[in-house]
Amino acid sequence: MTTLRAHDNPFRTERTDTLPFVSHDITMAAIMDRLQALRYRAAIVGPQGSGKTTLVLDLSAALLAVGFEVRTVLLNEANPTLPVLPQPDSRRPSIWIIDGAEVLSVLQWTMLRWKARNAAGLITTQHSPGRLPTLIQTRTSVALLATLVDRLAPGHVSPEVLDQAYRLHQGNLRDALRWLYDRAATGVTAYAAS
Amino acid sequence: MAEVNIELADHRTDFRPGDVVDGMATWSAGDGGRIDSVEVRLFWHTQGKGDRDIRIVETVQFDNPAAQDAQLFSFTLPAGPHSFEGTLISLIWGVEVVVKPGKNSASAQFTVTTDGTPIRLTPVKT
Repeated sequence: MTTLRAHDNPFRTERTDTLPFVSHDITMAAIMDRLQALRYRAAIVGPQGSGKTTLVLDLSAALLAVGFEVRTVLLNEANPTLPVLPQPDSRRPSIWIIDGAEVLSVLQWTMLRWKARNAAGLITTQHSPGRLPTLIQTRTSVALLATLVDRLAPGHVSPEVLDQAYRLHQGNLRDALRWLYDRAATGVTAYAAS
Repeated sequence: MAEVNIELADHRTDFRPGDVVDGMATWSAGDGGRIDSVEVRLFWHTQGKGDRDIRIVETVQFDNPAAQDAQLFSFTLPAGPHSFEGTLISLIWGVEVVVKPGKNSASAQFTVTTDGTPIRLTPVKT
């Protein structure tokens, strides 16, 4: 059996981590405009593997570029506790980003809002709307998966396999890309439809 | 934008633990540009399906770097880890030169094993 070495696999983490946030519905500039209109207090809402964390990374870079200080906290089931966040720097407007805010209890959320009251902004990611106005609802599609895959392995994955990857993982693009990694790892011919 | 390059002595790509990795880093800030700092790093990292591990083993900094220069560096490799490659994960050694301001860098990869060839991981049937 032909196998592909991990560092040759086009779907290796090193490459998928560099994919930018891609949306067929809204531009990054429009997201930034909307964020400003919401006074930098807003939520990125969407299911797992729909690009919320990727958008956080891109937003962080965009906010840094316009002069904000950005503090990001990643929460999940394994790490549900909010760390002690330092008081915002009065010399530079600070935006707090809480990725995975759905794990916060009502009490933790209330404390967070209190602590962030002097920050220039508070952005969360969560699976369902609420707590903060929705900045963007992230959605996925086979077409979006195709766009991402085309950046990693242009012309190598058939539409049938893309469709299969999308359906198998119920629209979770992160899991779909990991599945494509496994297919690629087992042999170049496995890229094509089976 | 700065031009950055790194080269290993004799273009060597296979080493053994304890070997000395010699090379040369070169950089140029371009017209009117400036260079604030130059650092050469000896590192290893993993690539594959899961989370990545990156370990910077040793660094060399060149203080007050000129806008255009070439500097030699030398690292002694530790006992491990050894280079390996499989379908799920590979471990790769390298040296990298990072020039600031900006994110200008260049790297060169090599193998570290007792016989100079990467350890090949083969799938085990369970």
